[in-house]
Amino acid sequence: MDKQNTAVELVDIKLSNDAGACLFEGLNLSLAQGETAIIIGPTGVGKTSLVELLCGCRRQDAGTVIIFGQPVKIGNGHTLTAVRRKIGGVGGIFKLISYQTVYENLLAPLIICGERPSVQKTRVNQVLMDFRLQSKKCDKARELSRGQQILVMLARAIIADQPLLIIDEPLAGLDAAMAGEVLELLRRFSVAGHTMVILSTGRTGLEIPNAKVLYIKDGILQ
Amino acid sequence: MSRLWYPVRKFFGNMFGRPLAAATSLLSLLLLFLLFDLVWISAQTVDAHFRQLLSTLEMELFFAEDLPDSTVTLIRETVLTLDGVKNIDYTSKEAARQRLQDLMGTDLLEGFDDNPLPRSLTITFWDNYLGSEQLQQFKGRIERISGISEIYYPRGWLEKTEVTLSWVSRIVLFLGIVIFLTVALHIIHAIRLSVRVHEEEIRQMRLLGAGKLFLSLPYMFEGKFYALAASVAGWAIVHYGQYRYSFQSFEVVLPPLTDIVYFCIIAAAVGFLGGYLGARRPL
Repeated sequence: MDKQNTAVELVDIKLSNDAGACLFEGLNLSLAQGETAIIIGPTGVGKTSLVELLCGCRRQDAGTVIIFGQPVKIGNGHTLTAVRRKIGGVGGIFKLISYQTVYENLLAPLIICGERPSVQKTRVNQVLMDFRLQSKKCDKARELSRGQQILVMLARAIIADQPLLIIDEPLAGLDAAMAGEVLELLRRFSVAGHTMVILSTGRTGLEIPNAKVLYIKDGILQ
Repeated sequence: MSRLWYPVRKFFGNMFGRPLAAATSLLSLLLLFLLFDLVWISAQTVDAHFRQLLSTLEMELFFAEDLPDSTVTLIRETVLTLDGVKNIDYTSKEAARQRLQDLMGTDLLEGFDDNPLPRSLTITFWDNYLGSEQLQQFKGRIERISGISEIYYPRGWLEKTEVTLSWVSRIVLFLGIVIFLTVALHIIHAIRLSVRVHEEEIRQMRLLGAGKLFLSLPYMFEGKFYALAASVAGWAIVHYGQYRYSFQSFEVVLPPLTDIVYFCIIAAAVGFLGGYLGARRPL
């Protein structure tokens, strides 16, 4: 794969959990820009740890994590913040700020990126309209249903044109209608050229065209 | 909201979002600063009192009996040109006798053929020369002049005063360091609690790509505000107290306004630094 076109690259990752048990041993993953990977594995297999590695929240025992050509390393503050600004996250370690409104939650990535206030306002209103969340604009995040929270997180994940989306259990706890809506959005993101890493305990319902489906088993992706 | 405005808004949000915690921090710091102000004022007052006493210190030279008046005049002129001398006052034998009489209420020398009291010179010094070491050196120089039979100044009292002032300075310095350290630790602790309260938000902001300094700024402003507001309020209370109540027996000496302004600036800097240290680790 062309290095310049690579969005996510995990090379020979070795990682143990806090108790010292090996989670990954020689784990490799390479995703081109615009590609989607659905990573499936049961609870406790290390899906959240994988997300933490991709975001630089956790240090691997060995191996390299590269996002859009930049190595992800804890302690390398400037590079790490630059990498994180390219990532939009939903679920798992990515949460809404419960005591802030939907509007404030959506504003956060734009403030961090240093967008002008006029652009921020336009962009947030546009996204609220796209996701049909206008009526929830002033609601606190904790007042939303699980489905609405997922929608707001998806909106936040793309609001600053983040090219990589990491989505942890997108359909968990959703009714069929909401799950369908979320799935439709994920398909739209895929078509729009977002690189996506979707993690789930099961494949059921996760039908995204041209997605790589990988299973975490025995510490590697198969 | 711009990146510049965000920390300011967050700072106000932190303050007004937890009014009880903010009030507790402010009042605790106010108490500490008031304590420091009182220690400082006490030291200033003690120092001013002793300096006033010191300014009355005099050295007396007694001339030998057989010294001609022309030589006495020459010595007077020489002493006046010496470094540190503010003024000299000559006392003749007759003036000395009169002074003794005024002091005792009767002429004790009545019946004496001759007046045994010596002629003398009373020297006063400029304030910056009123140290035991300088006066001792001065005495040494005067002693080399022939015709002077005795030199007297309250050396023991001066040395005791200097030791007292030195101890007062040391105690104030020690208390100042302890109080400022307590202020810094208090701010660090208050900011750490504030960071803990906003842990969820900070974690998400970090994941979205916010830098540590950007997230620390509201807490640095918070620490700076606590320290600045408490130090200014402390001095305001002290000045109001001085305006309302006056002491008859002694004069309370406050530090000059410029020193107070510097003090408040230093307090604000300590608050800013405390805010940074308080926020740095949890971030």
